[in-house]
Amino acid sequence: MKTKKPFFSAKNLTVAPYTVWMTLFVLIPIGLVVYFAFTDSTGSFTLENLTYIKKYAGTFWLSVELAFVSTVLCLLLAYPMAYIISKMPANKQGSVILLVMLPMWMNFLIRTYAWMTILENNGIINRFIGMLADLIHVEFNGFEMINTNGAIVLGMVYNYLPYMILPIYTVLTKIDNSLIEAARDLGSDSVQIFGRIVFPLSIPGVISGITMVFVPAVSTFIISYLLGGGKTYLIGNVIENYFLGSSGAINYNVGAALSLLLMVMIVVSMGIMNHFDKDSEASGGGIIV
Amino acid sequence: MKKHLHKLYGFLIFAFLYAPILVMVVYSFNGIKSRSVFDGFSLQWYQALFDDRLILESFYNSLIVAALSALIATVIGTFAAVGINKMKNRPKQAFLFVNNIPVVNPDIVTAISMMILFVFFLSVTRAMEMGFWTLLIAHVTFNIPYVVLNVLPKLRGMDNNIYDAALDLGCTPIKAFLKVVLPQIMPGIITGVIMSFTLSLDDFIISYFNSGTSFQTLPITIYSMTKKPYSPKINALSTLLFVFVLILMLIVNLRQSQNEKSKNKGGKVQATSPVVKRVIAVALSAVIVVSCAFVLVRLNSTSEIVLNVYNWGEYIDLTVIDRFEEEYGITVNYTTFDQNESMYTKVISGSADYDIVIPSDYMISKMIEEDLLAELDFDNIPNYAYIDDAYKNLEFDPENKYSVPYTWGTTVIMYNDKYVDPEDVADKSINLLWNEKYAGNILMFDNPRDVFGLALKKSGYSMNSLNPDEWAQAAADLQTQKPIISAYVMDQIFDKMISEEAYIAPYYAGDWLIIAEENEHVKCYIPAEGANMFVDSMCVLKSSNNKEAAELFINFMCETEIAVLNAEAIGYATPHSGAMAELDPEITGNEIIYPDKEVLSKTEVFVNLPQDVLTQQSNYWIDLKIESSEE
Repeated sequence: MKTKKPFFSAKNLTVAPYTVWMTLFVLIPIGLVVYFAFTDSTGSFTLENLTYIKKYAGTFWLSVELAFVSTVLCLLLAYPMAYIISKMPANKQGSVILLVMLPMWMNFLIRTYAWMTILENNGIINRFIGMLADLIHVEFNGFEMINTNGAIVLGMVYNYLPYMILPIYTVLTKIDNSLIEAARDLGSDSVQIFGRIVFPLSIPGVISGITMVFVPAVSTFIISYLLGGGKTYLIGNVIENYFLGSSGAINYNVGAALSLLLMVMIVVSMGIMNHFDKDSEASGGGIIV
Repeated sequence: MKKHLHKLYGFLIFAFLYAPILVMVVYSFNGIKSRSVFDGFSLQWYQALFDDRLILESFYNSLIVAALSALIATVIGTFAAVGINKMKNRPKQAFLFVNNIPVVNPDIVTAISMMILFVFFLSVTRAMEMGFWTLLIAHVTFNIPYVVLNVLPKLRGMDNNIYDAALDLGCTPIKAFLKVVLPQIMPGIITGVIMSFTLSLDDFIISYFNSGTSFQTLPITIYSMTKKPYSPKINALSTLLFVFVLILMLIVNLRQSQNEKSKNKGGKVQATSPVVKRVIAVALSAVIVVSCAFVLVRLNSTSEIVLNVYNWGEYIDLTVIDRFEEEYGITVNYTTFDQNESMYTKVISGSADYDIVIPSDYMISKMIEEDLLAELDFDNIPNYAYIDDAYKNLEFDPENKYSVPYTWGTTVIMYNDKYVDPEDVADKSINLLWNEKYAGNILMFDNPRDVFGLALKKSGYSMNSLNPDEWAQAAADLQTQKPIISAYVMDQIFDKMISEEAYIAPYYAGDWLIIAEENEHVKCYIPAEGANMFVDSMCVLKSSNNKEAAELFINFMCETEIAVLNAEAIGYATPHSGAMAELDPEITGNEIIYPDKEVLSKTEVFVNLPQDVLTQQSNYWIDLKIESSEE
């Protein structure tokens, strides 16, 4: 039963500005990235860019590794927090969530600079422990924290933790309490309730949380630059280099090839993740604060 | 017990989230200009903040872009959500897929894809330049999907019968939408606005690539302070912002608890309380109204002369700009960059909008070669006579047609005499940077030109070498040096040397003075093998529409009084003979800042390298940075 509707129906009209906007500024730019990835500087077709970026396999792997560790840490830290907030009295939840969001209103470069102050060899942590060590007459040479991969991971966890807490919290508050009561009435203990009801129902939130942490983490170039001492290039740094020419040569083609690879990798991993998330429509809702 | 555990856990997470904020607040009261050493309580940075128009302007710009993009994205996104909600499954999935692209895509990919579009589009049409509009478009683009994602679930959760009932009772569809649908989806819309605003305010990556040079947001201003030490002014601004938001929250909380008392308790759990949202919404709409006014003003003020000046971060006495504006009635739009190369990229990608840039020597010759700079009319710059002849007609601008020298200096090698043995510095060699005795305590520049310059000079080659073998050797030397390097940094050198986080570092002569003032143990020398001599000069872009005003500005900068102010603020050597005479003799007599002819004869000015050498340099540089990633 197909009824052809006129194209300019009210329904289409409301979507029209959106369609135009997204086509112009999302689809076409991505088309351009693909175009640049498969052409050389003269504009003719080539696969050279894609073969050239093989040399960045190690960098790619390191970026994924650090982002993965950060995401797991974020999840482990955020889930209990989101759970605790969702169990608070309703009137307090809003404020606590705002408190979680508040640091994001401070510029993230400044927050990262502050971490440098904390982590440096003569930084706050080392000086504090040094003082304690002095008190009990133990020799303390300071931990080496700044300019390590550990510092980069810490920076990622810190910066993206709220993005993990918020979606999980949102999903947890939506869980119908009567389900839990029913389970309890039927004799489930709290471990069972969590494992069989609460956690499975919160998966959409977990997945949007993972997305919102992993994606920016894998592509960052600032955190690695500031906390890694400029010694560890992640894939984001390499892309930045090619597009802004900070090391002397601009090469959109290789940069686009790297971006394309990054994009494909993320789409694939999202696809795999969505596989675990049966109700894909709900996952869209999981991002909501 | 469980409750206490919960509280403890919550406390720990908040301690983690707020530790850097606390540090930021504490250091905003620092008595000295440092990020790592705290010395005495002072309010000087608050004072300095309100004198710093660049920071205030860029903060204001950030607010405007955040508010406007949130507003536009909300309108487009809400309507789209209404339409998408009514779609059949297939097209709906397609729309949701596209909608998720900016959400799921890494920021850097979104950023560069839009940059490519703008560069492409602008170079064809020349209709406008990278700047406010491109930035706004970019922000709207990454905000829209979040609005859709927030509004859509509310629409889904709505009972369609109510809407139908309204129609049955005689409402027009528009009225029914406004009276019935809108109130129900309002919480989603408000969350969308708040989220958009927050994301936009904090965005650095997308803005960095898409802002052009004429309009800059706070994160870019902060990031461009790479050549000069980090200023606690930023901490002061963030502290004020933090206190403001906190107070807002407390007020909201208070009102809310009052409301709660009057209402009977219970009811559904809500994500963010409606009162909180309402207050934030009111605050946001105030900002939005202001920014709309701003845009109107911006659109109407095209007749007035606006001079765009693009300079290194923290590289001017900002009061100079105020004085220029007062004296000549010309508005100056002052923005900053972090690197010659990024400045160049911005200039070639945006074009048309900027008037004055202040790049270094080799970049100037590159820009001359590419016909980006305008020949100056020196009749309009009589104060050029003050520039010492030693700095005229230099290699990068042999006939001195395009540039007026602003500052100059050499690279030096700094060391801390508490840790570095006198015999290691006796020969004043670059090799100190390769001395394994100090492994882990040596810093290097984080820009390839300076780093390769040092490495080439170390082997006795020219810093402008065109010989691939010499480059290969320099690259190999740098690879062997890497394990003993603590970090490749720029502005952080200040803090790290002052706090004795590192003992040895190369940097620019003028900056050593600032460091030595804070830590008397930091000494320095100009390497015996020869050093880089740099000259940063003022140039006018060919595309400038205000060439005469630009020359007026350059002339103003060359007035003795102004040159003194700038020289004192920057700390680098001035080429201005009049300023030289007025500056503190202790500075002008300092043989590091103003070295004698013999030392200078060994220095080299960077010249623009041919593209194949630059590509080579770029490859070596990236290799240097990625190699250790495999450790």
